[in-house]
Amino acid sequence: MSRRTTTTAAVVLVLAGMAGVAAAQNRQAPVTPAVVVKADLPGRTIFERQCAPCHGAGPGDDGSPMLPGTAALSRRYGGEIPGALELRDDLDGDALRLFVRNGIGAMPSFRKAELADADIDAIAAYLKATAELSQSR
Amino acid sequence: MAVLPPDMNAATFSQMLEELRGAVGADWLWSSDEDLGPYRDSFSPVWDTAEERHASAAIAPADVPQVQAIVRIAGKYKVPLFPISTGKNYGYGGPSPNVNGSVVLDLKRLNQVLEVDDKRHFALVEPGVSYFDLYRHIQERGLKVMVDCPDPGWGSPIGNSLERGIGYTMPQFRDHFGASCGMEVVLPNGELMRTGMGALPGSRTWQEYRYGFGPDPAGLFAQGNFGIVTKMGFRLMPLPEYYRTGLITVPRRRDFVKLVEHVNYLSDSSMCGEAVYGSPLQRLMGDPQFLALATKLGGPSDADMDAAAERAGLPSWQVDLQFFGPEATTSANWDYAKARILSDIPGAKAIDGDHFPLPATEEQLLNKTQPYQTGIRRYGALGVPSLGIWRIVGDNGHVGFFPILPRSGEAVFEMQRVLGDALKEFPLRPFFNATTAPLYWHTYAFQMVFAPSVKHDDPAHNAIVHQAMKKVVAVAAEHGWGDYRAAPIYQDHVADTYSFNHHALRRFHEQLKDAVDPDGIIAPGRGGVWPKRFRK
Repeated sequence: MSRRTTTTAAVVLVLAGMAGVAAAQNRQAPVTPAVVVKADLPGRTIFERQCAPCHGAGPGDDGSPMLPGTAALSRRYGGEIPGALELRDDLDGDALRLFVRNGIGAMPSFRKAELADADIDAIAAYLKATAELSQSR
Repeated sequence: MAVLPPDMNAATFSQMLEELRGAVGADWLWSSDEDLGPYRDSFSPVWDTAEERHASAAIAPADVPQVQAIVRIAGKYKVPLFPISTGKNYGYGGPSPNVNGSVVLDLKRLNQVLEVDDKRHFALVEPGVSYFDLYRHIQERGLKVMVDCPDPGWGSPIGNSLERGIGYTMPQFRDHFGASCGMEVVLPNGELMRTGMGALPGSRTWQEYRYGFGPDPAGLFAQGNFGIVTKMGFRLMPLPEYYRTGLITVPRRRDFVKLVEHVNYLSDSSMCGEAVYGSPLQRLMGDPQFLALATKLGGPSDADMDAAAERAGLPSWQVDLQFFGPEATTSANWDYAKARILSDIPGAKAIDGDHFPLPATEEQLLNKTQPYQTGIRRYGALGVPSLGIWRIVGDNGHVGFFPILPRSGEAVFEMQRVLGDALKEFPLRPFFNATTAPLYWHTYAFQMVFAPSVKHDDPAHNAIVHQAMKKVVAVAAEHGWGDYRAAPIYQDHVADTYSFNHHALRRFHEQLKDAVDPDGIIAPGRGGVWPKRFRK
């Protein structure tokens, strides 16, 4: 039996305690939110429903400066690449599929029943168009 | 091909897959390693070991007749089905089955919000509806009801309630199975059944009167394997006019006993929402001396803890209180809580918190204006689904043990000490220590949490976690504390601890299972219930 292992590198998230986490993060310094100009494409709704709750550009809950996925990617890239996916123009459908289908770090994988391959391609098109619009702003 | 179903060869498996394809269409059946990857439990401490459970295939029906057709095909081939709703049960097994080779029945495509009534305050949904979907449905229509959603909010009301999941608003809504009313179920023979008033043709009270007439089997489908729930009703809170918060602190360790008694009174009188307990002394855990004190074998003395609190200028305990209702009622309830607690506990203090009309503004939802450090997660408190909680997920996730304990300060101290001592041998974060506060999620019980992380690339660490999980289940049971929910790899361990009168409960469940599902078509092993075919 073949058991696939995830080939992508692990994103290390900050491990905090279950209790009192909100309190601990409530006093983080505010971060200027990134300006995102959203492209009017079919992938926008899919992204906003399936990805944005973790990977959106807005602030996180309870005083966190960023949403968890955006914060994880910001830490991973150390500012060289935007943490917010809507500011990335380098993610085509195949690249997204690698992460979506395999998961990475604390992000679980997504099933075809919840996110079809065509949805992922639509998200990729939306991200690229949105990143370009946002950069030219 | 990943694994085969039990007692089946490859040729018969292929034949069965052909029949299943015929039922749902080729696009909605998956059996390749690549497609089954997302049906693994990515939070599993037995990741990539022989103990990990794998599906042989996954199938996603579009409607209830397709679910029935799949169940009948599975019955013909005696193949276990493992139903999932949105598959987000992370920390408790994710979408992975109890039995290797099961076919995962992925109900994500049954995604209709069938009804939301904001005059009689209920919803009727299908299993693929997430909390985000239900919330959006309500917002888009301007309906005046509040969802009580778990954290994170990408799970489904049906899946979460069938796992006996919880939320964060008023007591009667936080117990999600307790707040359910009426279900439709595909039985192991493929027949369709409705519970409660749903069994009465023409009834219009399916989501209002839970019981109907005669025995109510609804409880068998929570953490059970007696059928596949395809519709379920839920009570919803009328959108409150106003939301108010306040913080109470108490100076001494032993004050917690009285504090809990007062909050129990407030909660059981429906005067407050979720009470969020915490210990301000947790912020001292970075100090090695205090860490040693708080994790001392046998537990620290009250005097030593009080001295540490006094030195740090911190109260020993706090509770965030939340009030819902008309503005005047929330104000009166908070005033009453302050007067009641401050008059009984010397040195107790109260701080007025945020308060505002509902629905909250975006700024209020972001929880930035509380005049003190709060343990409240504002999105959850106001029934707004979010994935913000994912910030606490480290490594490749975690596995969870949440023992149920009495709502008393004494019980909290005992669990801190007993489970803290029991877990000392493992090089893991001290989840149980003298500052650990209880979780007031379920309506009438406390829970505490043990949730060590897992690492896909560190099998030695995972082995420690796995060993610690099994030990903590056993030690807790020796003291009368049982887990409320478990991943498939721990369900037998947990079920074993519910052993009154030579496992009378398990034997009863087995008799029922043998009667309605002798071949184990529906999730054999779920909840520790095995049909005869699979019993050793």
